Amino acid sequence: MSESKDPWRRLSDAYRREAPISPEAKHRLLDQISKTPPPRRGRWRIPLPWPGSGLRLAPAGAAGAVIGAFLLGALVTRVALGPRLDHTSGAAGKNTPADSLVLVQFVLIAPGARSVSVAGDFNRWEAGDLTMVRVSPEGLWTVTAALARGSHLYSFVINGNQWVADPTAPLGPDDGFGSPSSVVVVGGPGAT
Amino acid sequence: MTRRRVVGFLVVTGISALILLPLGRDVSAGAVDPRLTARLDKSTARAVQSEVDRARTEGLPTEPLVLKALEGAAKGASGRKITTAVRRHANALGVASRALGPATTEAELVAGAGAILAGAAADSLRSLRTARGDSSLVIPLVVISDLLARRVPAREAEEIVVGAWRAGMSTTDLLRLREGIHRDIQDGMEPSAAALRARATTDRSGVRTK
Repeated sequence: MSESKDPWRRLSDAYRREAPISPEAKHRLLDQISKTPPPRRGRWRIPLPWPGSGLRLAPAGAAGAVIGAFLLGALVTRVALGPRLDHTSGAAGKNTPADSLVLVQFVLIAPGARSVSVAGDFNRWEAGDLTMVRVSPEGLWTVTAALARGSHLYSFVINGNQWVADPTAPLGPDDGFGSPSSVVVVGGPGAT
Repeated sequence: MTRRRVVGFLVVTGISALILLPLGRDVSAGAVDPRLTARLDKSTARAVQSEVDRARTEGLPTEPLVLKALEGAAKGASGRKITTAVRRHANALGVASRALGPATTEAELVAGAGAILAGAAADSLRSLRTARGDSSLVIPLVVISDLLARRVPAREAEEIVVGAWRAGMSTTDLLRLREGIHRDIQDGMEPSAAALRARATTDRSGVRTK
């Protein structure tokens, strides 16, 4: 290809010509470029609602703002975080770890009973909470419950209103209400 | 003070009040455990809560007191009876705590209070602790309570259990001892005679109970 006589053309050709560069320098340059991280794109950013602000919020920022607002709200209203108001210090008031629970079977012979349940400190003395099942026509009632280690007071509730102690277990002290209670010690030899 | 400063002061005070008022409300009203308000009338729940608060200031466990109140509610007891029972229980916890000493677990304290309520003397609790300070006292205390509830005279019940414990009897054997006494009472033996027989048996087996 012959050189153009037009000086402007020659000038532009000169600018378009590849600048002389050593292969080593070219390699270093390409290497440097490949190591440079691409610029962050804003395509995942959330535009703020008010028009013309030009502000955008990253998803992490949005989540942080929501969590922050939730924490502040919870602090002010004292709801939604942690346990409810609880002045407890005992096992029943704590979240007992599953591995510290022990299965305990309660058994009672009550031939004439229509229903039997177990109420004790482990179920906050809710009379209908732990219902026993009649397993024989002779009136053998049983139920199994997972209890925390330690000693527990309990009673059987027959027909919803008759509170009786477990005839096979140690008796508890006078309950102050005129009905007997029993004690079950759950866990190892010392039971804490 | 410039007007700008006054406005700033008022804004900060207002915001602080908005934040702090809900927090302060619970303190001033004396928050009552929701489990109590759910199952007791208002005045009984407040009376029980004041016992619970008093126990807390004395460093006693409070859960047994709440549970005692719930037990009373479940058994249909009157508010007065519930409050009395809770107060009695709190006092027993205090006696047990002083008798058993500072290195007492909550389970021991609860069992100790049970023994005190059953009629055991604080000295018996001290003797159990002194005899084997490193062992849990839950089972010996439960056994003392049981024997007292079965009308074994206090002196005999305490001597049997404290003696057996001092002699190194295991908790399993202590529970067997209790079962033997219970069986004899069920068979018609006088509680004191059943206790004497149990003591004679354990003495023969090499465990001196006195």
